[in-house]
Amino acid sequence: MNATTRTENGRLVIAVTGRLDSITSPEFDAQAVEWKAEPRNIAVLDASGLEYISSAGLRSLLALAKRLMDDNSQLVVCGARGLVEEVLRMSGFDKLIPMYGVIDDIPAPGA
Amino acid sequence: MCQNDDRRVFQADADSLPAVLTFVLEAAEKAGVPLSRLPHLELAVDETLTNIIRYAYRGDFGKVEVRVTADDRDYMVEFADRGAAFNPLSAPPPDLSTDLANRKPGGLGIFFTRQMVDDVEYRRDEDRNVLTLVMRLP
Repeated sequence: MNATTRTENGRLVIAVTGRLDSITSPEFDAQAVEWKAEPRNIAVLDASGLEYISSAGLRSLLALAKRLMDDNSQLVVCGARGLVEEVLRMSGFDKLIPMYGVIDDIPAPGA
Repeated sequence: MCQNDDRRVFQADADSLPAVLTFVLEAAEKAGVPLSRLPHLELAVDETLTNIIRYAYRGDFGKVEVRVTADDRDYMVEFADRGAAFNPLSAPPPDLSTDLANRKPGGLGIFFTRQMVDDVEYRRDEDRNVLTLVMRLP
């Protein structure tokens, strides 16, 4: 698992790659506390390089999404594919965290 | 008559996951489980091992015996541990409909396991929990 952040058009973009499971999620959680989103703007989790997620990884995403909501931001996911997309939909996370195909599909703020 | 039957004992901790996965996935491929279903099996095995570590051994040291068998119809993975009696199939299903603020993360492991394979069976066998994952062969 590797997570890197950047700012794109005023939005926090978190690119996570590899495996998010019971082994790697503590490391993800430790990094996630440092991530600050712009209030009233979305934060994007770029999952296009994420190969695997288990319930432990979903727990981490849920905690991140809740914390961003408390900070008056909103987490969205783009690029989830294969098992990762399947798992997010099966668990109903797609109803909690909006999912998009590619980053350009995400509506502009206020749109 | 089993076409293959193999078993191996692992330490029940998260660090064993890669070795357990290699053992189970290689046997699955040999048994004829389609490649497209291997990610499903991987998730089911991960969640099963995680539950054994968390709920059967509750952080204590312990071992888990993993047995893989196949016949003409099914590929089966059996996990046996000597931890506290724990039947994951009796856990209430997760509530998937609540909003983000009220969403609880628990219960998803066994939910995924049941979704990913064709059948899940549990039995208490003397002092052992025995959980079996079944995948139908095409």
